[in-house]
Amino acid sequence: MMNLKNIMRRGGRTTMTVIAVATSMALLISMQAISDGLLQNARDTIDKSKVDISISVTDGHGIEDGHTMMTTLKTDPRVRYAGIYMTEYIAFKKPGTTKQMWAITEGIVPSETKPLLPPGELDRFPKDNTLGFKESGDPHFVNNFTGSWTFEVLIDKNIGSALGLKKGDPILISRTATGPYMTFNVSGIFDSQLTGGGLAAKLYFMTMHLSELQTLTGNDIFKDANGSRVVDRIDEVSLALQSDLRTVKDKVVAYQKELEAKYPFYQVDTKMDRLVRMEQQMTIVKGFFLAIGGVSLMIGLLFVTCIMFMSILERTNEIGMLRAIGISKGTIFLQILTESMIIVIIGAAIGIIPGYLGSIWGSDYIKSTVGTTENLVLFHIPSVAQLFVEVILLGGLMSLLPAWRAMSIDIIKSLKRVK
Amino acid sequence: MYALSNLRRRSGRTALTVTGLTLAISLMVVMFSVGNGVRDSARSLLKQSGVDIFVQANGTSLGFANGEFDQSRELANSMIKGNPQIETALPLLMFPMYGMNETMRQAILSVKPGDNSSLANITKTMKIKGMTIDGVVPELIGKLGGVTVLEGSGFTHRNDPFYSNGTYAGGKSSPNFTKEISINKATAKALKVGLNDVIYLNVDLPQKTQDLGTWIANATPFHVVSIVQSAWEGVGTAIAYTHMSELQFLAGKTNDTANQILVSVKDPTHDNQVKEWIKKTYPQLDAFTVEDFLGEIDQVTQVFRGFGEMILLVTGVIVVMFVSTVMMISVRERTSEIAALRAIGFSKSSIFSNILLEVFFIIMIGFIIGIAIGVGMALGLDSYLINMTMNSAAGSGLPAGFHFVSITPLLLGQMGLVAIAFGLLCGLIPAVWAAQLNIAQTLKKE
Repeated sequence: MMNLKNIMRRGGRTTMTVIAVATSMALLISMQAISDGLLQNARDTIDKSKVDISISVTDGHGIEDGHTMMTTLKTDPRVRYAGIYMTEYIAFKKPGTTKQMWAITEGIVPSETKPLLPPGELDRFPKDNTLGFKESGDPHFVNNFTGSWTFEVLIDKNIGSALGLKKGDPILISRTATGPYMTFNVSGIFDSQLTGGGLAAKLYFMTMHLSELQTLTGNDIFKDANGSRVVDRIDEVSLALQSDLRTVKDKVVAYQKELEAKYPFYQVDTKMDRLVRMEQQMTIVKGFFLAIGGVSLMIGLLFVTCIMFMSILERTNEIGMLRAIGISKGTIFLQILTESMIIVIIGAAIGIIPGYLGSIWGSDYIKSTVGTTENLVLFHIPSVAQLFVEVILLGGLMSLLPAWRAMSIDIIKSLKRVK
Repeated sequence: MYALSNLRRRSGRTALTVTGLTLAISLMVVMFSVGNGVRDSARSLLKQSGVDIFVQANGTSLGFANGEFDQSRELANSMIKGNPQIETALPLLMFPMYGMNETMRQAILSVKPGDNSSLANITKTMKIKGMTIDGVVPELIGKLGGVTVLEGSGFTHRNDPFYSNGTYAGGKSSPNFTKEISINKATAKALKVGLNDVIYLNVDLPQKTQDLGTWIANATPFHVVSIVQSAWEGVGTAIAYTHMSELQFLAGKTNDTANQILVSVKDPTHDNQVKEWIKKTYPQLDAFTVEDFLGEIDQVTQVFRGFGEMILLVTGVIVVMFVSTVMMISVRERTSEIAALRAIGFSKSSIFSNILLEVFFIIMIGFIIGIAIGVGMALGLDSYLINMTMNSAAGSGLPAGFHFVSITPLLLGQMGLVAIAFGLLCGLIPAVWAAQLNIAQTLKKE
C-alpha cells in the first residue's frame, strides 16, 4: 500500500509515465500483430495449397512441350493431379469503347487446375461448370494448336465493375496495344481478392484456356524460313501428390530429387522450400518492425527510470529516516523496484487495448494501400502475453538502477539534510 | 550559463533525458532516410540514363511495363518528326532468353548419341544461363546515356539491317542477321565468355538432358562484340543487347513489337508538354515523365512511409511527454530558487528564456548524438539491405549505385526543425509556469 501511496502522491508525473509506457507498448503490440498477421497469411496460403511440388524456370516462360510434360507426369502413380500454367500481360477493352486496359492473364487447363485449388481459393471462382468454363479441357491444343477455340475468358470483379461487364458479355482481347483484337465471351467472374484500390488500382486479372493464350501470345508454334515447330511454352507445372506420399517429408524430398535429375534445367520446389523462403523474408520484415517498436519502448522505459531517479532524489530524507529506524537496504530496494514495476505493469496493461486497435488500423491501412481484402492482422493472445512479460522484465531491469541508487543512500548524509 | 549549470547539477536525469531524445532522433533519421533513399537512387539513375519520357502501351503502368505494342519504329520515327522537342526516341524490346557457351556446346556435341549419362555429367559442371535481352537499334540510342563500353568496339551495323522494312526476310540464315551481341559483366561471368566469344541463345530451356542436341540445333549463335555496363543494371543481373529485329524474330514478335519507347527531349523542362503531346497524338500509347516514375515509386513505398510516419508520431509524443515532465519536475524543485532570482530583480522573460534554454540544451545534445547514431544506423541498415538483396535467391536486381537510404542536408535540416519543435513543445509549459511564479507566496512557503 505504501508503494501505491508514493505513486499517487505524485499523480501528475505518474500519469504521464504510465501514458508513455502504454503508448510505446501499444505501438509494439501493433507492430507484432501486423507482422504476425502478414506471416500467418503467407504461411496459410502455402499450407492450404494442394500443390506439393512445382516445376518452373527462374526467368520467362522457358518450359517447352508443356501439355506433353503434364500428361507424362500424370502417368506417374505418385502424382494425383498435375496442372500447367502460363501468365502473360494481355490488353482488353469493351466492344464499342476505346478505353484499353491490361490484365495479368493466366492460361490454365480448367479440369486439371480445379483439383489443385484449395477450398478457400475454389470459392473465388464461379460454381457452375468447371471453374466457370463450359469447356473443361483445352481443345485448341489438339493437333498442334489447330483445335477449336472456346473464346471463353474469366474476368475478375475489378474488370467487371470497371467496364460494366457480366457473364455472357463479349470482350475484346489482344496481345498488344495496337491490336488486332479477338472477341472472347465472359464465361464468369472471379474474385481476385484485390479491391481495386491503392497499389492494386491498375491490377486486373483474367483466366483463359492455356492453348488459346499460347496462340494469342505466340507461345504455341515457332515459325521461321526453315519451317515451323510446336513449342507449347509454359511457365510452371504444379503437382499434387498422392495422400500417402504428400504427408511424408522424406518421400516428397526423394521425389523432388528424382524430378531434379529428370529435369535438370528446371527449378523443382517443394511446399517446404516455398515456406522456408517465405519465412526468411517475413522474419526480416518482422525484425525490422519490432526493432522500431522496441526503440519506442526503450524511450518509454527510460522515462520510468528517470522519473524514479527524480522521485528518489526528492525522497532522500524520507529514505534516510526509514533506514535510520531500521528498515533494511533490501526493503528499500524492493520498495523502489515495486513502485517502478507498478508503473510499468499498469502502462503495459493499458497499452494492450490501444495496441489491438492500432493493429486493426495498421491492417486496414495496408489493405487500403495495397488494395487487398486479405486479413493481415493476427492478435494472438499468447504472443501478446509473452510480449507483456518481456516488457515487464525489461522494465524491471531498467528499474534496478534507481532501486540500487535508493538502497545506497547514506543515512548520516541524508539526515543531515533534514532541517 | 545558469541553464548549463542547472543541467550539470542534475547530470543523472539530464543523461537519461538526452538518451531518450537520442533514441528518438536516431529512429527518425533511419525512418526518413530509408523513405528518401529509394526515391533519390531512382532519380539519380534515371538522370544517368538520359531518358526524359517513357512511352508504353496505353493502360499499363510503369510498374508493369510488360505490355507490348507493334510498329514501334514507325511510331518512334513519327514522334521525332512530329515534335521538334523530341531528340531521341528509342524503341526497346525486353525478352528473356537462355544461353550456352562454346565449351559446353562442344562437350555436348562430342557425346555419342544415346549416351545420356555423359550428357548428365556435362550439365553438372556446365550450365545454361538465363538473361534478359534488350533489343535496340544502336543508331537510335542518340543522347541516351548510362551505358559504358568496357571492351570491344560494339555493333558493326549501327542500324538494324535484318529489319528490312519489317519483312524479316530470310530468317536466321539471312546475311543481314548480324548475330552480334553486346553483354554485361554478369552475363560474361555467368556464361564464362569474353570478347569475340560465341554465345548460343534459345527462348526456352531444354526439358531433359537428351534434348540438349535438339536445343543446340535450334539455338542461334551470337558473336560477342562488346562488354558493357549500364548505370541502372542490377549487380549480378545478366543483361545483353542485340539488334532489335533479331530479338523480335527469335521471340516471335515480328510486327516490330516493343515494350517501351525511350524518349529524350531537347529541353527537359518541356517534358510534360511532350508527354501530353504523345498521349494526345498516339491514343494507343501512354507516356510517363521521370516525375511520374518517382510518383509510382512513392506509391509502392507508401505502406512503409505510412507506418514510418505513424511510428514517428507515437515516438515523438512519448519523447515530448518525457522531456516536458522531467523539465516540469525540475522547475518545481527549484521553485524557491526561481522566486529568489525574481526577488533580486531577474525579469519574468529572463526566467522564461533560461528554462527554455535548458530544454534547448538537452534537445541540442540529443539532436547531435541522435544524428550521429542515426546516420550510423541508417548506413548500417543500407549495407545490410543491399547485402541481403544481393544474396537473395532471385539475384540482386539492384543497380550498383542504388541505396536504400539517403542522408542529405535537407534531411538533417528537417531533423533540426523537428528538434526545434520538440524544444518548443517540451519547454514552453515549464518555462511559462516558472515565469508566472508568485514571488511573495513562494518565499513565504520557504
